[in-house]
Amino acid sequence: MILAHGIGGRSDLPIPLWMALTGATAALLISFLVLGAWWRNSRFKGSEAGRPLPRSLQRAADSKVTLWTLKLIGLLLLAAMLGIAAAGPNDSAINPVPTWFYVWFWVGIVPISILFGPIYKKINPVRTICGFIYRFVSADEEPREVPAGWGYKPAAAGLIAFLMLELVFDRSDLPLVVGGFIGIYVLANAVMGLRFGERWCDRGDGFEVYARMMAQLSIFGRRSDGRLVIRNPLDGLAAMKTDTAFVQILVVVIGSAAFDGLTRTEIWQSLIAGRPRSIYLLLGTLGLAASILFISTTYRTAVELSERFTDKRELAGRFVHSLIPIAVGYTIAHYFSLFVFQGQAGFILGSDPFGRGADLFGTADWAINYRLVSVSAIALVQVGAIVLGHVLGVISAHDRAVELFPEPYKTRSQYSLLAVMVVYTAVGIALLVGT
Amino acid sequence: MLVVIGLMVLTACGRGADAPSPSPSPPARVDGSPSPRSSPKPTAKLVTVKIVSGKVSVSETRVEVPLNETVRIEVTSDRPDEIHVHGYEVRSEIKPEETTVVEFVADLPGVFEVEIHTGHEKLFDLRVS
Repeated sequence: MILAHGIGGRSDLPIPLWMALTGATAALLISFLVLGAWWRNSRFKGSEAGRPLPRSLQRAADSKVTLWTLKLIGLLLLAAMLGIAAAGPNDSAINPVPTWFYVWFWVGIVPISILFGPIYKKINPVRTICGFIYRFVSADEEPREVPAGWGYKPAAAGLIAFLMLELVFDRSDLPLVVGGFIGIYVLANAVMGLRFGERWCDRGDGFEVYARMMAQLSIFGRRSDGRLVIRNPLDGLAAMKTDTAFVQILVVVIGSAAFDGLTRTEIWQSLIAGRPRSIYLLLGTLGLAASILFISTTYRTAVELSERFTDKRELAGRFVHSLIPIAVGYTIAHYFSLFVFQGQAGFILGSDPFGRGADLFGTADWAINYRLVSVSAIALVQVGAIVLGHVLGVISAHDRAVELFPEPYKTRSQYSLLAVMVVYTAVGIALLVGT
Repeated sequence: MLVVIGLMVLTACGRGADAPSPSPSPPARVDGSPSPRSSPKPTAKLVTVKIVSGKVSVSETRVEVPLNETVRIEVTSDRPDEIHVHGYEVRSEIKPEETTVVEFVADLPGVFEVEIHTGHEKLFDLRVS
């Protein structure tokens, strides 16, 4: 991440080579093990699976009170972010908003969604605002359907706009820039809410779509009969609706994570060193586009090859869930230390949000404790997350393949996608060595 | 995976709940006082930075030091500025036509940016391992 001054002023050391090689070897071995297969028939039941939670708990979770409390919290947090961004000092070393936005929100949305399931949808202030706007402003009788042909392109576009800000733009840490981005983002979605109501957020709000994707890996979910259940995260993944358009989101998420890793490498750093600002921004934009294109091309090629091996078509959407754990692995590898270290700054700066000597939480004069997690623990988490993500991805893909294909194709259909996953994992680990 | 993420959350929140343990790192804002006459310690890693009309030249752009080594940065600039070592939170004002010396013990592992505040330009990466 290239967030200068105040955010991400610390980055990780390269991981030890032995750890990288061990991780890569483990990933490869497990891949072949899964391919050779313990199981030849699908094990994961997706949205049929799961042990129901007590009805009383479900009633509480679905109650109007809970619903509106979460909505209110979301709106208040949004208002606080915008207010402090605008009224606080325009310096990310004093103003907490950039840290809250990039570290607490953007990184934090991943563990929150994985721990608690699709909860962000309930908090999401953008959804609430779209609902309000439709209800009170729109003249339409009924909210229209978001055109199917748009797929997830609006959400992908929102995510790309955010990623350009985060990874390419060189003043992304300024509170006014962050506040401005949030304001425009909310406004743009609200305009769409005028026509489509809350439903817009299903495929239009990039952050909600991102959170929902991560939530597939949660132990909490909803069964097809509507019951709130505890389930195997692999069932959660398999429960994801088959949707070719969702590939648009995954390639953006994995591609940008790869680009994030790339910008931390020595090669990239020496490429941009001493360049004028315009060239620097141009290289960043091209790099991000190329990374997304790389992931997109490799995945689609793998799926096409798989289609050629078998008589099935439209496979891209059927395997897209297996990329989610890989995306999560990349995300953890890149953001774990930022979350643990810079996350503390959210408390420290938040205690005095306007930089006027307040001390709301009694933490204003703390310093970030960089000894909270050791360097070797960070390296272990980074490699572990990528390898584990790979393993879950391979297992999910294998299970889907044995479900879809008859016997001679069960194994053959997997070769190309497996190869691509191995490439993603190898690239992910290589980027960690090259920093 | 869940364990890993659980750990992410726990460790992050743990800090908030802890007693305000004074961080072993130097306090938030330390001014490395300009002391042009004191000579560097024999074991110190010396980095020299020259800034002439906004153009920065640094002896190394990747400074690698072992943990607990003393780092000494000598800065000369024709304009007033501020140098900031991220993470260590060492800040020092740079006065024109004077050598500013920043010296500290690199006791936190990781890669830290050292920058000047005019245009937030990065001077070099300090890699402590």
